[in-house]
Amino acid sequence: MFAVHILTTDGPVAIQRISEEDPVVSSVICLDGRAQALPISPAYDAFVRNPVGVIEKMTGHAAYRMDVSSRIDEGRSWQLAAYIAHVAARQPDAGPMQIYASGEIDSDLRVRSVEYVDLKLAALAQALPKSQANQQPAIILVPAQDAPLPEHINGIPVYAVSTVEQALALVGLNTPEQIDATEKLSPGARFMQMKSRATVVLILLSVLIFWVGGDLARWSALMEQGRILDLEEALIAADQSAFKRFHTGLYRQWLAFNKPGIDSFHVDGDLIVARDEAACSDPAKRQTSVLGTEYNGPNVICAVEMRAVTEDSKMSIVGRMGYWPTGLGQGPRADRVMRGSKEASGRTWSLTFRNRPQKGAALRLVVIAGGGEIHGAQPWYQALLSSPLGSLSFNTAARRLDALGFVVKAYDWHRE
Amino acid sequence: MPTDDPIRNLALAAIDADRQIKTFLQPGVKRENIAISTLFRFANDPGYELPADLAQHLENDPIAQANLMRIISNAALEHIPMLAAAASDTVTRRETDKTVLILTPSRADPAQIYLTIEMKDPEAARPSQIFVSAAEGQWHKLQLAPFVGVRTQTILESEHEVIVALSHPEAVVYFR
Repeated sequence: MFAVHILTTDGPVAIQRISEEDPVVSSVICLDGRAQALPISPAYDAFVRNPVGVIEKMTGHAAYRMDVSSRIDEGRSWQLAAYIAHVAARQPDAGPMQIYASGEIDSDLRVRSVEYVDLKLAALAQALPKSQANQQPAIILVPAQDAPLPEHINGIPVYAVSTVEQALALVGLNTPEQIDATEKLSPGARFMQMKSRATVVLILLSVLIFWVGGDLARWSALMEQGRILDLEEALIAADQSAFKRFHTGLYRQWLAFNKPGIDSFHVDGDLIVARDEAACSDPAKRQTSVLGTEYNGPNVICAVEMRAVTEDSKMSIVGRMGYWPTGLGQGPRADRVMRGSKEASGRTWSLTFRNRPQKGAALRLVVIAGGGEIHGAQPWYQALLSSPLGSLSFNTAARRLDALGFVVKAYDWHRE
Repeated sequence: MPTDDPIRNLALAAIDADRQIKTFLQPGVKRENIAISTLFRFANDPGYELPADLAQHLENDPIAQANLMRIISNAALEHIPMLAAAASDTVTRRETDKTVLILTPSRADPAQIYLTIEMKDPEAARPSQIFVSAAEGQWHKLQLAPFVGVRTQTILESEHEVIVALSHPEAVVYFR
């Protein structure tokens, strides 16, 4: 078995498991498989995630969970062992080896010295059996330092290393390629080069320059993470440069090419009414009808359900519904603004009421469809939920999203 | 006001005494069994949890619930109101103009959930705990991990009472 241990002054700590996590969460170090993140987790997240971290550069993935057998409370000396464990996790054919390591890693993958190496080795000597005879191969790795090191601890050889490459060679692992966003895209660039024709050579060269510049990678990463507002700001900032304006033009063409059609998803809804308030809580006494755009009957309105559906499984639909008791855009803000629940084919928004819609009450559903989810601040919702359809502020907000590859649909309902 | 302030403690004791007298003097009125000072301690002392009997009583006592909500909401940095009833699915995201609260299942262990809170305003005060008022009248609180930038993340078992409560649209969340 290939096992990696972190040297600490309290004895070796085994790295039990490394698992990929959803990139929207921060990387964590957990104790023994439990739901208990150790306080050094933020440091591990920084060690993993671009642009500071070194693990995402190696694996292309931004969030991991590392389970360890005992607490590690401070310092960065766990980094060398953690890096080796990440490499080993990607090389399942590695032979059996017990590795005990301590060292800090910088962004150039040099191993930097750490404190208390002598105490850590002493703690390891106490924790290990006195002889390693008949045990599987083992090795101890510590940073190169001025102080003399023992040749072995209980029969296990001690090596001083100054780079990650040296450490990996000693434990029999291949040194992984460091990838970055630019390199991730290069196969595509090569593919396009192969298909190039004389008439498009100029365009391909421009695309190649664009890709080498890394702008597409950064913008694509923002889009993938749903950071649409950040993407918009990045494109606007790039527009300030004459050279980069060409890049943003190409990227916007790409976004427009991938934008879903306005008819690729559909919005409808149900109106649920009853004779009186009490009947609203009895499903047998409620009546459901197609929502329409207005209601002028005498019944009490119990609930409204709206849906946005698509048959395109790649399309992502998000949106919000706002309730305006005294009319669209009236009052300080929509009474209840809600996101919809996600389903395989789209989203559903259900709204029940504490203050039943009376004459003049309005609902506005805003649906945004595109190639990915949207996370973080979304300032356009204020105008989209409160401004009349076709108004300057509504159209401006919709155009912002259109320029980012999203289509906006709005559905209005009111009580006469 | 610090939680060990003697004047505050005296004021709370006076409020407790006043309520007890009023309760005893009103025949037929249901007696309130949770003292204001206990609710205040629950709201302000991160290490204090309501004993099981009081927690159960709180579930069935709308007066005590209202008192606790008043104490918590008065000093809350922010709150996320209940969502409208969703047609399907559990709630995984709550958002206001100031904050986003997200529940993300762990890929490594789907029985564990990441609770992430992000402040939209980098200058906003960072909460140290959240209170969740569940639909059934229960109150739960959770000490948050220190913020890193605008974000804090805690990992919890999916059956943790806070995760269960946050999964329902009726829950109300207070940041303190």
